[in-house]
Amino acid sequence: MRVIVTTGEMLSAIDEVRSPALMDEETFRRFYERTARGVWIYLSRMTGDRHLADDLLQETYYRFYRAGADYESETHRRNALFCIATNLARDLSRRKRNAELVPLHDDMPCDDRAAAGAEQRTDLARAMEHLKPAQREMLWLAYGQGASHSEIAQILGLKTASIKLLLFRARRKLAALLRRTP
Amino acid sequence: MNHTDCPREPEVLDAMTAGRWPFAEELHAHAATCPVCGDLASVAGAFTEDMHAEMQTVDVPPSGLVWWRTQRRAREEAARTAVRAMTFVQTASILGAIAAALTILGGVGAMSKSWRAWFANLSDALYFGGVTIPSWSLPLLLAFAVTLALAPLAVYFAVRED
Repeated sequence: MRVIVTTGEMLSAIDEVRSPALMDEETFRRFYERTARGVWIYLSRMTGDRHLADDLLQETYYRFYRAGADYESETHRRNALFCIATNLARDLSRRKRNAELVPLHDDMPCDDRAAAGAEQRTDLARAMEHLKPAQREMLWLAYGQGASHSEIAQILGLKTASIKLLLFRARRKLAALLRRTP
Repeated sequence: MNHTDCPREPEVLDAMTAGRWPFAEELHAHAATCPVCGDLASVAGAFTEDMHAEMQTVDVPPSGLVWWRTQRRAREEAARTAVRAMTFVQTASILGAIAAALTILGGVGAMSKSWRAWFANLSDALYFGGVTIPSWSLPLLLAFAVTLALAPLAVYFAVRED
């Protein structure tokens, strides 16, 4: 019987260190390189500020390390990271008392080589401004990070059973906004 | 199929994430007639495009720098916690010593006549609602009062940040 092992599974096996507090620098580096970009993009989209995303990214990894929790797998570790990132972004939002909409497109990159892509990203950012923070988080996790319903529930602290409907509503609203965006 | 659900959603999502969507003509035709899959294709497409483009350009802080800062902060926090614990123990020891000293002083004093007389006078002075405090208990009460007065200070020094 042939067993196909993906690169991700191999890396997970190599980095089978259950607790972040037991990570050495090399293990941390590999874990960081696999996860940091996704977490950064998530934070950048949730806060609307790329520089702030840098700071929050470092805070996320610090809190992850300090928590020293035992994780069963790479997926659990990744979920824990996004959970911390979500809480940090929410705390920041609360501190700013920005109950209204967070501007998401202020600091978007403008790359001439990917003008069409940038245009679509701007459309997405503009449309996302009209969603509630919880809807943005949910949509990013589902379609940006490819998280399952149970993972989203775990990260956002919601019931798995409610995710399907909440996600459907958020998606329908965003799709309508994207259609309306000129 | 109901209003919130379509059995072909996973297919649409798979095609999107795997980059097969532009070539999946049959799924395109389905999404054109199915509002659920139509919305999914539109939203997932926008996110996939955004993520793909951002992943190419995003420049996260180097892992070495994040590791170093994490280690430094962890060390600083451990040191702060240790200092806090030491301060608490020191303050508690000082309070205990003061209380013990006062108790001994009171005990010795209570032996001597003059002290006994002094405490008796003080005891008369401390006359609360018809209850006279016995003179022998005054040293203990004094020690207890001093401890109570200094306890907030001890707590303050123990829990303050720096």
